[in-house]
Amino acid sequence: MDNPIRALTPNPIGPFPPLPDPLPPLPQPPAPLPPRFPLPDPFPRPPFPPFPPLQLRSLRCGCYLINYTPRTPLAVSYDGTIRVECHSNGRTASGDLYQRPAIFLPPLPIPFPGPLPRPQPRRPFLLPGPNPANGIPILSRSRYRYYLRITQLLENFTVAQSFTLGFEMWRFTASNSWTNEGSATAEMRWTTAPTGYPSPSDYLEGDVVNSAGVTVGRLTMGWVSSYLRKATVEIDRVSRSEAPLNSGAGHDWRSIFDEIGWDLNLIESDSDVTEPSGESWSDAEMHAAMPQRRDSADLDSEWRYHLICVRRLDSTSRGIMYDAFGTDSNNVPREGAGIASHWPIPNADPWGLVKGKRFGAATAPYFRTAVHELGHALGLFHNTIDNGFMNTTGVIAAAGTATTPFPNNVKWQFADDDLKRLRHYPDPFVRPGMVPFGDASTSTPPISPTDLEIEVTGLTLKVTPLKVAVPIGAPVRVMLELSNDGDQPIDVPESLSLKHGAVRGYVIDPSGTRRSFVSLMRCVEDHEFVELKPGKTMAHDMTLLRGAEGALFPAAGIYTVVVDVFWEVGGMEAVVRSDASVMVEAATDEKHAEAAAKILATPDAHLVLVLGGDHLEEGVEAFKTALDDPTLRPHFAYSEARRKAQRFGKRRADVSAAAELIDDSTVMSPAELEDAAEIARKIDDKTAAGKKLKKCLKTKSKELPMPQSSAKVIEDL
Amino acid sequence: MIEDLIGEWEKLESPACAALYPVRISFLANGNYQGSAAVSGTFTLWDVGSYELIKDDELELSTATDAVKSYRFALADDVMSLTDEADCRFTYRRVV
Repeated sequence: MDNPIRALTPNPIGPFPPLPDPLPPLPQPPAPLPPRFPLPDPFPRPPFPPFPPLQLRSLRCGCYLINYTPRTPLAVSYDGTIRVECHSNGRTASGDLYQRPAIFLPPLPIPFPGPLPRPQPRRPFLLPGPNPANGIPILSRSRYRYYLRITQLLENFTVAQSFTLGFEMWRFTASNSWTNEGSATAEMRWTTAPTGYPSPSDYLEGDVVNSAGVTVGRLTMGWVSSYLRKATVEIDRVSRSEAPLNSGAGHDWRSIFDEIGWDLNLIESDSDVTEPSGESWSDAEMHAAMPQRRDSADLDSEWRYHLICVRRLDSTSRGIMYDAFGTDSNNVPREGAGIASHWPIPNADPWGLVKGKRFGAATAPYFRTAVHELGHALGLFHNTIDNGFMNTTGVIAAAGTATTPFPNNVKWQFADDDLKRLRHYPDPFVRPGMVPFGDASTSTPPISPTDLEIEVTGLTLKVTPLKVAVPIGAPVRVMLELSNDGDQPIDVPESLSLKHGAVRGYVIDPSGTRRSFVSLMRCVEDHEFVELKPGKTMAHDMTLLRGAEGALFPAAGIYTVVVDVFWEVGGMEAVVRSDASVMVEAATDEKHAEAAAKILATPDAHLVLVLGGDHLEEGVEAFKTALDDPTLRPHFAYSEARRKAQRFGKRRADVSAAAELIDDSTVMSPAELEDAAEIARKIDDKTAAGKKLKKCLKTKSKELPMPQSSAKVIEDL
Repeated sequence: MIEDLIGEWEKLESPACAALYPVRISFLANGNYQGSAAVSGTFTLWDVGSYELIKDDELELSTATDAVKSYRFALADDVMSLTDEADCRFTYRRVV
């Protein structure tokens, strides 16, 4: 499947998207106004058209709701924003794209009696995009796909009906990996906005052309706000701490964020937060209090930052952005910060006019620290270029002089480079719950999500390991359950067996390395679909040992097994995903270690596990080594029994030998248990081996979550 | 003793666990420090902050999140050895 985005000419220039440069001005621009937000238009339209009448147009400053739809029959579309900042040198702009979700429509009723059509997978349907009447859109973090580094746009004004927009598309992969997928241009033409846009004349559309001159999609952009971004800051406090609401010198949250170009909603909320262990709070206590006291926590519909004001802090004097590193126990970075109202400012130099005061009573530095910590939550680092918000209090205080003592030397602004970051950083760097604080390059990027994936609303996949802990060298058996929790029937693949071809996945080892697995065998006939009715579940299981990159569980430790159930529909891919953890235990003794090493180092062992047969001699030998080891034997006994129960060449099937291998200790999944019933049926049930096997299988079937039909097969033995 | 710290230091020994500590750090006489990452603009745990010698063998620094962290500390022959709370040991050599 071709992704039209990839048709853009690749131009990788580094791992992180550079911010857009200020664009060069055209000759003789009119003098612009100072950059204040909401952004005034520095080149306002003339009140009276000149003669002959010419309509002068300019790109209005602020936030545009955009949509990029690649030229493809597939249901792929992106929504997002372009932020246009107006300044003395013209305009700087940047943007972000989020993939629009798609769902399946419920089936149409059959209008008249007739033969039932063969079940076909339903086609995906794109959900509606953001409503422009709601202003700046907030889109789901999981849908984030691209940063748009805008390299060309209308700087000042034009008498034409269009202008050329040039941009680079930087693909994001969580947690923080970026790839430049190439440059493109779009000739953006003014046209009347569809219903809902607040300014019908500030709406443009254009075809997107890649650097090879190929039209790859269509872009629309409609102005929705004078601001560039929007966010909420919620302040909760203990009763004896002040809420830092302003500097006492004319600066408050709103004015500071107006300067940045952010539409800030300040919520002064709880004033009765309980102290969990006295006046001083640990980072963990603040992190725990945040979800308890926060009014709202849906970071996919609101960029909400939380500030807690307490008397003292365990980990520092004045303030901390605690939601990072080990304290970020919920792995949702940069949601919250805390400040301490009862830190006693030293009664000494360099603390200037506030020396000896309680911090909360020193309005200006207390408020400054609150904004500083929130700056960290916005992804900013310390910045000593001036005495702005991201410099440290200590550095600013030390820079005070007799004529300008601290805090009179505080600059009540973010430094220019920080302003640019807040206006033009990619969303994941600034919005809460995306890229961790300070995380530049140390994380292992997971596989990039494909834009041809569709989430299937209503379906839930449950992945459960048969054994939570297995010895090293043993295969890992995993049970899958696919449930329809919705209220509409959904077409799904008829089987969740690996060999049916609708299941794949990967395993993440303790060091973060991932190894993928798919079926070794695929059924060649067309895949059939079945209708999974609301409230119904289908189940299967699989046995994992090796994947494309070698042994899946090569060392002791905790592994994550991620499983996709997937199928093609309408040229796209429907995916339901889930995962589970498995502990692989270290070798118990030398014999176990030797057997495990042999299994892990012998690729054919996996083939014997899947295919059986005698022809893979190294694999069969590795199997025998595992069967000779008391720790591994229970995990390989069923596979060996199945191999022995099958004829191979001139070797006859030996069901008695197979039956001897299976006992109460044998590790078997529900599907393997059902298969083992076939061996039990072939053996004379008057023999001791036959009786033993049937009893064993019946006992095991009661211990496992067997599908009803499988349980009946065992019961009928 | 604090005078022995003032000046500029360059990372000498840096195991993988110490990757987030700066390649260069300046300790100023006013109790503040400034660190530099290997690549300008990238993150370092000690970017700007204050420092205090708590004991002869314990140094406290405020870090990039403003949390103050304590480090085991030793100084000999213009080589400063530090060990963080995760037992990661790394060293700096005085350059100025």
